[in-house]
Amino acid sequence: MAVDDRFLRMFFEEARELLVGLEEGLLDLERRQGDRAHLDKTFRAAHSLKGAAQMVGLPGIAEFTHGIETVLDRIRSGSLAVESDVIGLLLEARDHLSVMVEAEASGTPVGGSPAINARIHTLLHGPSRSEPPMAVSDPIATTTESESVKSKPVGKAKASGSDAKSRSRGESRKATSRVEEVARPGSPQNERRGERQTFRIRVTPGHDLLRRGVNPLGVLDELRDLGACTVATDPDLVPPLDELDPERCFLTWTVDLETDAELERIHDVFLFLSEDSRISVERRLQDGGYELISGHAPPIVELEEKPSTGVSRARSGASRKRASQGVEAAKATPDAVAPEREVEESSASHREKPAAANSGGSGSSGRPAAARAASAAGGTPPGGAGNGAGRGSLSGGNHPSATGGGGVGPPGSTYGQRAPARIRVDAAQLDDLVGLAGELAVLSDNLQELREVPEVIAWQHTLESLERVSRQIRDTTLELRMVPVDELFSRFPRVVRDLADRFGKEIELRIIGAETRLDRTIVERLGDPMIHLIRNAVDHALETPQERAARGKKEPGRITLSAGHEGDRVAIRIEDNGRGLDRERIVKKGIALGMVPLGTSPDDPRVDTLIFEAGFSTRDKVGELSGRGVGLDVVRDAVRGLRGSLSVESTPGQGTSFIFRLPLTLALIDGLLVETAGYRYVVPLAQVEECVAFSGSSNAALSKGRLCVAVRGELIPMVPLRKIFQSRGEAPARQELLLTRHAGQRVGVAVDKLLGRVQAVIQSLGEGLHGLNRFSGATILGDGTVSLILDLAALVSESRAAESHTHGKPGVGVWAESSS
Amino acid sequence: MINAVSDRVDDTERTQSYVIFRLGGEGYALEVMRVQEVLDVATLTHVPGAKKTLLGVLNLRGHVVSVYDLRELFGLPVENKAGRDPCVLMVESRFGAEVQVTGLLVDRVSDVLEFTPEDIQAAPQLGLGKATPFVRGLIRHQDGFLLVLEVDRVFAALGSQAAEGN
Repeated sequence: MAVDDRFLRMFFEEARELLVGLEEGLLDLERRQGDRAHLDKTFRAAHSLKGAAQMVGLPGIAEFTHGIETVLDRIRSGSLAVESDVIGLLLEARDHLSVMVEAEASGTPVGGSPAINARIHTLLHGPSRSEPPMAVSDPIATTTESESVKSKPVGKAKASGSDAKSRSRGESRKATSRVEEVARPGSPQNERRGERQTFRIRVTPGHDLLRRGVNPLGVLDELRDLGACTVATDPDLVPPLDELDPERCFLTWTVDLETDAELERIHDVFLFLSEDSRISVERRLQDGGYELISGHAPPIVELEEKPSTGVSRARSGASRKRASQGVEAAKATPDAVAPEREVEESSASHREKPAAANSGGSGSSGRPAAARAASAAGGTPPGGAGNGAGRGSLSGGNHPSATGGGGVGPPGSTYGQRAPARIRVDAAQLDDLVGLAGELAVLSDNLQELREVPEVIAWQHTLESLERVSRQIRDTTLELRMVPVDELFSRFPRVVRDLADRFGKEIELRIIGAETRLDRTIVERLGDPMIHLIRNAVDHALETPQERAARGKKEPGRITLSAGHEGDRVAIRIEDNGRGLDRERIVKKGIALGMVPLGTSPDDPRVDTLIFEAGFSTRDKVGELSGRGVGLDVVRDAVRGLRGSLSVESTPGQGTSFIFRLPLTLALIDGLLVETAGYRYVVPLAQVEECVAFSGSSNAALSKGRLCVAVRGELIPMVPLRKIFQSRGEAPARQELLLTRHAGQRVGVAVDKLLGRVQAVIQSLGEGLHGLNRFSGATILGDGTVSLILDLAALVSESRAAESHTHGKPGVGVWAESSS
Repeated sequence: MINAVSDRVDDTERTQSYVIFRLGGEGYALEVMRVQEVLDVATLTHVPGAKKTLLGVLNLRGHVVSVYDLRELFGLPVENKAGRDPCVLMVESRFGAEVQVTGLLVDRVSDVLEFTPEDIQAAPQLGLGKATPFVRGLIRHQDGFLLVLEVDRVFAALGSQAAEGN
């Protein structure tokens, strides 16, 4: 079966999420030593991934996941202790799994890891082994067939693995006799046979099941793994060919499963179906009846309870008995060999049970076949009534229209649950929407001027409402772009754990304010800078336990990640309680590199910012992880690229904090509207430290061949915008200088006029203009004209590059030039 | 995919509509499917530092759209205003998965005409000056020829130019 690309894409998306969940779960598991709720969640993540991989036809991934799942299941059953090396192995396996998924996504599949498989195998079958894994069944079914009734062995191909185990447990014998018991309702032995029970599971998948890329046969296979199964379906539910929509799933299944697996295992099988499918699980009772355990009771039961169907309780009791005879008949059906055939055969013989039990038919059963089978089994045929009911409820389909029949599961029960109301949307569409909403707000702002016009007074209220609503729309759409910073933070427990392991350090990670929301793009791009800082903290800043003890530090090494609002910005801190910055060393290095003047005091506040300069590293030895020459300047640039800032606070011997300060959103920009040579530009407020007016030539001076302006006694290099833009005409006598910081140095960009502040929605410039770094985008102003957004940093670099071209000297140096 | 479908439609319907525009004394034809709309020249925002072919950017219902001068690209004199009633053709182009709209300034938009594929003759390999690489074929019309514009090559040329920066 060719799997639609769409389903594969959905799988990859889902798999990534599940892998994150798996990792989180494993880390939680280690921390909380097998807290049940976390364990289940983790297990489910593995299980879901396995199932999903199976369904989109990626058996390699499914198989490899199975190993992880099995280990987790052992932990769940208590036969495997949660030890650090077990978690370590599982984490490694998860990583490999992630590699497999990504490789598959990029079209270059990678196989499972034999090394990890071998280790998992040792773990499972080594000395710690006590319980065989849950998969039993197939050999039992086989034995059953040969020794008593001729039921069809299912899933033979999968049997070999568990074969030996179940035999070793001495279960085969019991199982055999058990099957005989099943066939005889009301047997007193029924309930005493340990946990081995028979369940009747009715699966009514949603019509869209196939469209979602779910292969229901995979579910049946999984059930077969749990124990002996008899599967029945009802082909009569399938509409005639000319009415058939091949993408819809019309079939329902009734599965009689005999298993000693826990009920939960059965539930796990249906994880994928649960969303829009109806699944009920009934346990077979001693008297041959069924007790509803979970899910909505099948409509059958409802009908049974309704007097209007004219079926008496006594009758149904009697028919139950016939039904069980039917089971025998079913099992006796000879030569059901081919799986397809088996389903068909048993569909006829099995279907009779529900039908006979209530002679009614229902959404999932009833129908001619059932009627035929029932009469064959000697029951009074429900005849026309049955067919009618069958048809009637068929159209009623899967709607929980059930009018309060007895035994109906609570509406919100396990499988009836709806996923929380969230939908995935295309990020590009969302960005479009944000742009349009911003535009709407601007347009409505423009219209507000109409309120001054006497003729429009009647629309005063409308205009006010328009303004309010359009702003709300803008704010709400902006809010949609925001995601909790937890999406970023959740990666770090693993990072810290692995790093701490490697450096032989004991580190506690604390996370505060993970619910703080930030622009999606920021959250996506902040990962690498943060990992860089965390690595630094683990590698350089935090001491080994011995060192800490020697220094009298009682607390363990700790890294605290916190996020929170600071005015209209979000501050993210990465704090450690390690040794703190070594200012003496930084100054020495700074002097050696010619970045600071000789004799600079280590207490100079500017010393701290030295570490952000390109090419600065106090490490002489190149560390394995950090100190590879890629320094904090990269981190700083990345943060600046997000219109944020990076600063550091440090107390010797007590620790260091790096603080990112970021805008709430990248879609909106607080800017200054400026004018040069008749054109208006927007300058991001975040890039401007100060605005100073100066009168043209009088203050300008040349320093070392560079145009400078004296601002409060300090000579500041000036970059005239007119010059860069090669504008025609003369600059006005009075200009404005926008002071910004470039490579640690104050630089002024001269513009003609300052027009005011604006809040602008950023749009990217067209594809053809990407090479033009001096503009970071464009925005539409209140009057509808387009204004370009200046990137001061790029402008200054550009002018520096041009200067060094003409003067033949590179524009390096941090303070030296400006202070001279 | 979309092209494949439209090709089939062409084969059955035989004809396709073309926007006819004038540029430097020549008549050009461009598939109507590619043209989103035709605008009068509005206020353009100048982009300092961009290639000369980029006239500027404008606001097309809330989207910032670049407008290029085809005269510049085709090596025609820009200052000659005679007989011009400049319009901007808003043309759809594809950059990877994204559909983008780009404005092309032409002298005048005159007509929309239908032609069958047989009406289009192969273009000469030279003789059209700088416009040669951008002409896909010729259509005999009235007492002259219309040049069929290969607009994707126009975009490719504009894109590579702008990326060079100054």
